[in-house]
Amino acid sequence: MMKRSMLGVLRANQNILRRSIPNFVRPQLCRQLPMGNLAWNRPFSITTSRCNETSPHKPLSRVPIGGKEDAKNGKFKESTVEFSAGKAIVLFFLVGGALYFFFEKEKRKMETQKEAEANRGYGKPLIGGEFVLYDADGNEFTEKNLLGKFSIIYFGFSHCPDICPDELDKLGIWLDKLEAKNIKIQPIFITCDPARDSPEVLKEYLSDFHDGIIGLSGSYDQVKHCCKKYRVYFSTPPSVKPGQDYLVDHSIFFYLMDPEGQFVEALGQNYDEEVGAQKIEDHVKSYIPLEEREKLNNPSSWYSFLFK
Amino acid sequence: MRLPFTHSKQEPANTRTARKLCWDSRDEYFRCLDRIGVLNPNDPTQKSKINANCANEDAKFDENCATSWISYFKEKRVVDFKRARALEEVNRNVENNQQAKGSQE
Repeated sequence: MMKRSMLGVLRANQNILRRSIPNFVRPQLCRQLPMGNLAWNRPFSITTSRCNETSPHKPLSRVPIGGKEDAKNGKFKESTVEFSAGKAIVLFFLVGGALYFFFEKEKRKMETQKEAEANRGYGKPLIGGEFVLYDADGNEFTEKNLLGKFSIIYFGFSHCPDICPDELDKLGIWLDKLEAKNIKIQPIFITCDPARDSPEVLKEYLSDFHDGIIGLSGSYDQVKHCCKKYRVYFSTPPSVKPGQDYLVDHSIFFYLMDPEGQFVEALGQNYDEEVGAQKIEDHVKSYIPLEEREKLNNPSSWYSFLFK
Repeated sequence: MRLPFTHSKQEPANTRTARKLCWDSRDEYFRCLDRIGVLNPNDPTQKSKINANCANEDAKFDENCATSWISYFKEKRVVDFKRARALEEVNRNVENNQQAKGSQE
């Protein structure tokens, strides 16, 4: 009983609609509503008869309002919003994959930032500081020359038997790799052996490895001061006779300095051609200039809580 | 720029090719030592054996490398060998421990 009365209301509504809707829409309405069933239940339904009435006179247009006739088979394309399992799975993986990729990337970026922040130290820098040395052309080179760009600093000496040449070759590969990714780093070589490594000697020596490595030298005291600032141990005797043949024992590290001249990370011998370049790239990409860092004031993004 | 050297030996230039030459003659010399089973080239008891078998390689090594490098490489050979053996020892111990653990379980 209940069902019947409801259907009656529906039908009544439809009749009202029918009167106000222009003719060409009508067949559409007939088709959309489940009239077939209704007709069986109610053999005297006016709606059904009317639909049937119009059909012999004029072929029904099956084109939905605003739809286009499919030229080939005369049927309109059905644009249902039905649930499609196949599409849903594809969508799921696409969205899921994209999100996974995004958050993984952000996570790594934030970890690198944290590491750099930790190494940056609070207040006074632990490694690095003021120094005065001279480049190949005799120009003064100080910590101010580190500002505005990332620098990588290596301490060594040109008479180094095997480690320095290997490390400098590695540096050359890093620089090439980074340059290919449009990352510019200022490479600096500071000698621990100023008695033998004059700026000219260094220039000659470094040209064997990579273009643009800046060789720095100075007086024994200047070099010693600089090494102390960078916590570099070295064993050059203060007074050597000219022509004396000796080796210098020294710490083997690449120091990555950010554009503020602050220490970021020390890369030891364990960083090979691949890992080292990647590490530097990560640091360069995750670097946030000081003003922005202060603006952010710690919670670096709204989703940072996800990585805690 | 070459500094006047106090001793008679002409030090090789400090270039990439000179370094390569030195390293190659060093490897040659060390291979010879390996062949006659000598670890420490500075060992006085082995001196006659080295002179008898590797005199040529020794002379080449001496010619192509700076004096400081030669003593460095010779000492390094012993250190490297000991380090490699220590590392092996550690690895063996770790393996043994794992096996012992595995058999206990």
